[in-house]
Amino acid sequence: MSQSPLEALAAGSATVDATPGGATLDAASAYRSAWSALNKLLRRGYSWSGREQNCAFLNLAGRGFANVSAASGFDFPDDARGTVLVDWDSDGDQDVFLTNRTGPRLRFLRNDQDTGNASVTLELRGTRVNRDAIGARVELSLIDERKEVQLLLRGVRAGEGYLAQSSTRLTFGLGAPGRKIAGVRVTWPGGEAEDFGGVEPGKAWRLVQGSGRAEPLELTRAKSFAASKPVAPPVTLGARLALVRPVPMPRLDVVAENGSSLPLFGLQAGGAGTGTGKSVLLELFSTSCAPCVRELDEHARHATEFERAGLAPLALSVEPFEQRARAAAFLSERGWPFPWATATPPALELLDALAAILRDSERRLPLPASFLIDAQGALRVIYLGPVSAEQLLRDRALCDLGDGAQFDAASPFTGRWMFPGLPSDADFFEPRLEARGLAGPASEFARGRMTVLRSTPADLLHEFGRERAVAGRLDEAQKFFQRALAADPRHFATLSDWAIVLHRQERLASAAELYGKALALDPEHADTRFNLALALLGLGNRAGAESQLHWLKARGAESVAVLEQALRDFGAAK
Amino acid sequence: MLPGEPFERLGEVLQGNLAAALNPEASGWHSEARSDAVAAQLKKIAKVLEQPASAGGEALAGVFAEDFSFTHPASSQEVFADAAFRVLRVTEARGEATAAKAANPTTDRVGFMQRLMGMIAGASEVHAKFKFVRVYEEGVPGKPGLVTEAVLLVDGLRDGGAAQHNAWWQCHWFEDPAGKVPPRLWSVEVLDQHEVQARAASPRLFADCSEAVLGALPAWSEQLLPGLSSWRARFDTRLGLPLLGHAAGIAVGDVNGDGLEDLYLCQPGGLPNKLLLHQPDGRVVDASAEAGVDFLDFSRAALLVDLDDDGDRDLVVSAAERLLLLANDGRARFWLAGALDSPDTTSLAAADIDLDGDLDLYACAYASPYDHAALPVPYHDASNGMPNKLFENRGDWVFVEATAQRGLDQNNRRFSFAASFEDYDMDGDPDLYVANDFGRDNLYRNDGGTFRDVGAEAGADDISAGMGVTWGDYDGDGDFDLYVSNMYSSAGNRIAFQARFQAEASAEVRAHYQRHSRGNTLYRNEGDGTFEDVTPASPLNVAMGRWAWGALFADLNNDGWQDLLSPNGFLTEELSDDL
Repeated sequence: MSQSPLEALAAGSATVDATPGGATLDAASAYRSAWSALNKLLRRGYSWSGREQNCAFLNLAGRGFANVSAASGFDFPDDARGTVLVDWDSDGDQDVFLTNRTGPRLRFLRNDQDTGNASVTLELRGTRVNRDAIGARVELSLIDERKEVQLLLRGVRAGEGYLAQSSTRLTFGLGAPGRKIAGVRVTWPGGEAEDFGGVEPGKAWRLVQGSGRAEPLELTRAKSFAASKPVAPPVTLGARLALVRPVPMPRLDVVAENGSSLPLFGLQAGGAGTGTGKSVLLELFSTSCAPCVRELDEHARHATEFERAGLAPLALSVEPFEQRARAAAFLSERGWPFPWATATPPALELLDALAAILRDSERRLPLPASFLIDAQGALRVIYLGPVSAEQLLRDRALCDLGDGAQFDAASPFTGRWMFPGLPSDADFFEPRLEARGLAGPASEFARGRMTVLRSTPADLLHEFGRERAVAGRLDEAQKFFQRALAADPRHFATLSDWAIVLHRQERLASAAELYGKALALDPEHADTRFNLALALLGLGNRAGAESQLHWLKARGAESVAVLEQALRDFGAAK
Repeated sequence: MLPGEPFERLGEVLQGNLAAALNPEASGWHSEARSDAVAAQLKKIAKVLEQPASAGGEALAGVFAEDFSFTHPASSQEVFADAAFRVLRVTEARGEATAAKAANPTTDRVGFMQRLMGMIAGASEVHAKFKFVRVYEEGVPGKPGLVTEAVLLVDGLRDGGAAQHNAWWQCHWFEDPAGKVPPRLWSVEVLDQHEVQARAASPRLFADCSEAVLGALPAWSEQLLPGLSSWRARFDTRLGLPLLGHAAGIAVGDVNGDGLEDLYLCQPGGLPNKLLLHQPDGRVVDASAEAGVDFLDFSRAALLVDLDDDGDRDLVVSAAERLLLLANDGRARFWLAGALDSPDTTSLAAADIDLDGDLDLYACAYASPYDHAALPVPYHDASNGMPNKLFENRGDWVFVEATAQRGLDQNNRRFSFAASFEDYDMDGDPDLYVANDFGRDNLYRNDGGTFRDVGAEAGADDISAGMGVTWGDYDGDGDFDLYVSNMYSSAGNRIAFQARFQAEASAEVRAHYQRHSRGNTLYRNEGDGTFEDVTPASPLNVAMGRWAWGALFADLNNDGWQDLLSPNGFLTEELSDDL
């Protein structure tokens, strides 16, 4: 990839386009400008307190601390975030998992100490307080040969550090062997204290509330693991960005070889795009960019396949129109079989802005860069850097996908979405284009917003689906529900009605999941809760159904009697 | 916004930082340009330490002034020794009687370099690094010109294990009035220094065994090995991949009752959260899909806690602007039992706040100025963040928001990153510490189920950029002390201590800004309901945990004393320039 010609455009302006601190700016706008400048720099690839090494401080037996970051091997230069302590290999010391912003995003550090120091592990079990005894504290007193006592205090917590919950098993280091455990006192949540006997060093024990005596806890001691140095792959500027949903393209001005100006695409009132009837691939190139040459040559060799697939490449020169003879010669030299044009500076700015906004980046477009746009004029995939003909032919299929399937294609990984919180195109693009000084395209999205407010597609689609469900046309109904959710993933009525359709089709697990999603939106919806209980019962999850019953009872719901009968029937059937 | 707290203060802080990275001269922060020039000189010394073979030539030409002198304490003493570490500390020079100081020997540049090289003689894999922590443009009394304070960190491997030297120096520089030659080092005075020798059988206490435990998972190389920046470059940002990341929640708990503790891991949008089941051989298997918890929504934090008192660990995960409550059937199959409205959640904590036998939930909330969600006003004491929430457990998966009823709505519009419950006053109920960015923290004392923010009166409100909190009895006196992880900024330390920074501001406001760059805070529980800030001034100590996040107390060497971990680092992107 070569440097973007757009960098040259930017070079004229200051690197930091705010914070002059002049008397003309008022304080509030200077403050906003400072943040804005900072955020832009961070999105341009600058680090901020980056490559810092994690720190460890050794407690010098109560006489201060010493920095042992490097000596302990804890000094990884990650952007570390969460940390948890756990004795993962059950060898009596604290191992550590760390989560990072940088790769690897998870690290496991085994504690390899060879100190000979003894330890003991305690797991608390509440009987009259919460089972895991969160909120309890343990005082363990040690006594040495000289009868000196050391008190070790630890608490059982759920949530500590940052974004992290460590093990609730407490591993106590006991220092040099020879010291004895003189006593173990647990103060349970609420303040009731209980002394436990029978705790011996070198083992793990369970302390059950009210028993006063430690029970041995058998923990599997893992084999030893090999150490290694995992390396994260470097961040590359090349990328294939499959969009979460098609984005209608604002008007794009290009100039044909004969000098006539060709407006392409454009948002209609209502927010739909203007298609060309074909899937279009815009390929940005310059005659001096070596990877562009290779890419155009490769695409030219696949002309027949592209045509068969209904994919229409349009090469777009980023060089000034006055130099079009050079681009023409360059393309004819390589027998470019498709049309070409010159991108106007506003068109380049628009493409650059779309790619930057969709990556939340302030980096300029590299070359080559390509944009796959469907027959209706909506952007589907952005390619930064070269893209192979093979990849394009595969992605051609994306152009025909409905919203839901396009959404799923945006991530290569499987999993479940709760509520993809997608802003509308207008909400998302309008302010961002505006902030980049692209008022024209921003206003195109704003026109789309007006219409969206007047009609609510999710309501309509749900209504169509509901009609068909009532008519017993369940498969058709589900197609409408799917489209309704693509328009608004938080549409309660669609979620609950679709769940009922699935329930009727005996697809209980899927039904229960959708009931759950609907309840997440409206936890007070008693009918949906009742339906969920029946689905859970059908799945054999009696406890789940009972818990819903308790909820309905607490609210005096009419469906309680029916549910109680269903639970009795379930019991009888067993 | 408070009167007399103008907006431009942050502008100046940020400008100071930006200036350091971009064009110090143009921005008016000439000291940053001068500090860059002396940094380049110290870098030459660091290079000689890392590659002693290069010492012979012209490597250090032009670094030292003719009459260079090095003042160092006469002796060092062993302050700690066990089977894991031996720590030597030189007698502290700063603050001691002048007579003692005068007795400190001085040497010339040859003696200086010999001493430095001696630190890591015979060691391999040597790393040496300087960090500037102060710049005095006008010099200090008796020493006109440019005076800087620097921290030197040197480490390497010796036969007996890893070795580490840390030193805090005051450096005095001779600057060419014509600006033709770089500044030359005139004198170095040791302010603090210590030396650590690791004695473990392995070269270091911690070994990176990530691949042994996780490497067999397809997700390891496909999802976990690449950093967030890789995913941000490849995914539509609308999937949920904000700049700062923080989709980094991790929770430990045995979810299937086999006695082995499992892991739940949060991920950015488009990447599925992971439930990793701990196997007897120490490795993990990925059970996220079967368990029904492989959420693709941007997720920040999770807890594995028993919420319905049926003897298994249920899951709470913040995703899609909600807390999803997932009930465990005891075999690590989860079903969605509820969801609570909780936008922009950061850390979660659970405790039985009303002592009714079940666990209640506390959710911190932020509003990221790095993603244009809100700008903190005023910068150093902001009160325009999102409110944190307390959800009271009423049984059967009914949770009721009771933030105000429980008194937790007090000072609740800060930018919260983390919270942790502990009974610091030992009256039987869990109290709550909340670490907040851009200002003061909260210490909510629980009195019979109702909370009151006593942060200020208890002396623990820690005005700074708080990111994490941990409790531990570091001094062994039987009560819980606090360690709060904060931002540490070298640039902030250099700028905020200069006379012309915020020259017109009150001493109090200036002190707030200086405090904002100081780093982590260690609070000693005085046992009478108050805390004493006992953070040592030396940058070699626990304050300098860098830009710190999930700091934790932990006994690393099993000697019964609580050590400290301070994982850190803000934003590493591909440009080497650091703001």
